[in-house]
Amino acid sequence: MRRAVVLLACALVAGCGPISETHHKPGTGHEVATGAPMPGEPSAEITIAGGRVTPPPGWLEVRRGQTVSLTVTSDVADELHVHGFDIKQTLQPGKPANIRFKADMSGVFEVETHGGKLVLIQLAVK
Amino acid sequence: MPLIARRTLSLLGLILVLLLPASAALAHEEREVKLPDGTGSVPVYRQGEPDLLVCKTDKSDFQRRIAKFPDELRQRNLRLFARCQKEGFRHLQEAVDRVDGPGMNIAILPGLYLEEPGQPAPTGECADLEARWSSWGYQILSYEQQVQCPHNQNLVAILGKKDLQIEGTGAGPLDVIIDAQYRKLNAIRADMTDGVYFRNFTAQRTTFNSLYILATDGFVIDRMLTRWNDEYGFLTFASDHGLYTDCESYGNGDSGIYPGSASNINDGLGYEVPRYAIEIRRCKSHHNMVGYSGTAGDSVWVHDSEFWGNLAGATMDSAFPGHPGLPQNHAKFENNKIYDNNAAYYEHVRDGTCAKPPAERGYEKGVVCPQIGLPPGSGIITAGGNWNVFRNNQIWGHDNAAFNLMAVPAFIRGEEAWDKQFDTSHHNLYTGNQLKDNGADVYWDGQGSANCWEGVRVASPAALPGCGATGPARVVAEPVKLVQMYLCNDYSIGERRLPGGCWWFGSSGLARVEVQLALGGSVVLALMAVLLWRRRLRSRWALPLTVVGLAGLALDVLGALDGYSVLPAAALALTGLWLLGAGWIMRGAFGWFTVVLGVLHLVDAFDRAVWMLPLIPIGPGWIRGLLTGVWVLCAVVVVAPRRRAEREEAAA
Repeated sequence: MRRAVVLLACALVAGCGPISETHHKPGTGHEVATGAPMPGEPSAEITIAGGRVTPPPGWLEVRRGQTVSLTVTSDVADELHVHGFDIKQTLQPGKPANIRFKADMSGVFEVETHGGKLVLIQLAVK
Repeated sequence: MPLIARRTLSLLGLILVLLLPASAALAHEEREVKLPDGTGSVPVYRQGEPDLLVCKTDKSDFQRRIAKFPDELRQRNLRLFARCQKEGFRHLQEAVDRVDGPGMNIAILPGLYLEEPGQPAPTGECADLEARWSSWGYQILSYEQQVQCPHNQNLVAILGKKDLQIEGTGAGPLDVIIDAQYRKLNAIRADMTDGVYFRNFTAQRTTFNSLYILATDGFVIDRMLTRWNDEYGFLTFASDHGLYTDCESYGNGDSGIYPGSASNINDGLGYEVPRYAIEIRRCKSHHNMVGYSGTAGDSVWVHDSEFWGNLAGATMDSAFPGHPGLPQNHAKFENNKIYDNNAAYYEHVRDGTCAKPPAERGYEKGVVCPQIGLPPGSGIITAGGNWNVFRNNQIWGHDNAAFNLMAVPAFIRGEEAWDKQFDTSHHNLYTGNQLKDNGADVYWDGQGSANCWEGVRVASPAALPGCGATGPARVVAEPVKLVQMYLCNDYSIGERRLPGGCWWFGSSGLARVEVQLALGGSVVLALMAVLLWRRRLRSRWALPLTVVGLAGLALDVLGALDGYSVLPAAALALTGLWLLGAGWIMRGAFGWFTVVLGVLHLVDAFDRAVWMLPLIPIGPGWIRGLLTGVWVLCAVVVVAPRRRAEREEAAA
């Protein structure tokens, strides 16, 4: 009886049902996954401040042959380096630097700063 | 206190706590598992040559990846690559399947591993397993079913292997990546794998956990990186003799690090314990819903780690059923840096980003979809825990509070025995912490016994019990905080429900429920104050007293806007003085009732601002609030206009 009362009160008042249905709703289910890169020009905007990267070191999926656009703003002078493609760009404090290049090699390539030794993003070219 | 009185109060408390919805928790569903017997040990890293190798075949890609390595490491990788081309495997799962005894080492060479053979959705018998579906949207499989169908839920399944070591051979964890591409619940599942050692690689992008260690006695997570998961970066569950060291996790909808149901080895002990079940050291967990969470995170020692940029720094709780070791106890947070956890991730729920399929949400660009409703801007939240120690941490830059302590009744975790309903929020010790630039130092709901704080300046309630002194022992939280919790926990990411009136989700000013409650109460009492002054108070003190009362009631509304200030206590004190004075002037039954209510207001103010009264099982606020309701009804009768005949009779 006591159990029934507690459960009834729980069900009526508090709703002791599932905590979350995040994964149970259409569009958010575990079975739903898409791995294809987004259409359009792959791009990322990255900020470096106080030795921290915002957003945290990311992942940009790119189809081979697409042009990639990266915009990086750093609070200190540094040098940007796209591994694999060996593209370098000087970063001036507070001034956004943009690089665009054709991703014509497959693989995963890190974009990092030479001075701060920070990984900014990884390009996954497929 | 007589038994019957205590039982009555307990019943009252239970009824009140029933108002709490069951959603203040972080957790997951799993098959029924028992905690290990604790006979294992933390494995030690083995430096010998690997037994099994995993690599890809594109040599130019490999050479590009290792080009910047230090010379010795590059040469080692070249040697391993040559050997791997002859005798190695192209997928981690293939190497795991070849492990035929304890103590073997697998080396994964730099590369991106998509584990293509494990990707497809289940077919045949695996598509039709008989198992319960969890409310989280997946089946609860038995261990035997995991063995039968290892890739139903896991990209890589390590089942029953003992003393296995898996190591990336790159210069850092980003050189070897296991990428689930949101196709599986888990990137790597290590189930009943005593002595497993993971080192120096990355696992990412799942619809649950990147690295999931379950029912394992002895594991190490060393220099590992996990990121971008619907739920957890690292999930270790029902395990003992665990070590997380130098790890990193970010971009998770629940927590980066989740040592759930760590072995409950110190149950029944005090602060001094012989050992901890899991040690977490030098880890970084950032840009998640929370950096660390621990439903039944028992006997976990977290030290020299950093939690920043999350919605909240760390949580531990007793708010989910099915977790061995509840209620949560004996976590120790020591020498950690916990800062700037104020992320506004609920915006991604509000604008519909989190309703998209996982791969389209933009986790990789900084989107986090918080699974649970939590007070943003909090350092460490304890929702139903005992015997936890928070010592010598540096906690700064939080918009809300550095520490947040709340009780959770046992029925929330599925236990209905009466004597367990009030068994959380006891003996939590906060000492030696450096708190700086936080909105407040402590938010406590007021429930529990023998909790103590040192070095606290700004808190709600303002008068927290210090350590070594007799503190309060209350069976139920403060009423307004309880209402707030009830409302705020109605959050649902699946239904995009962000409760209006709750500041956690952006409500401010008059939109906040606690302000609305204060405003409603103050308006009613202010009306009574004016009517009493005009009709019943015959004294030169009537006007000043009424002005004091109105000032108190106004301050009460302002105090609701800033619960960490002195305003709530000041408001109670002024209101209490008005009631005391008005009652004294009126005398008679109603007058003395008003005097009692005034005294209760003053006691409540004292309890909040000066010293929380020991011994009483519920806070003065409860009695004051209930009696105020009765008093208002009486006051309506008292101030009601009388008929002329009655007035003439009274005059005669």
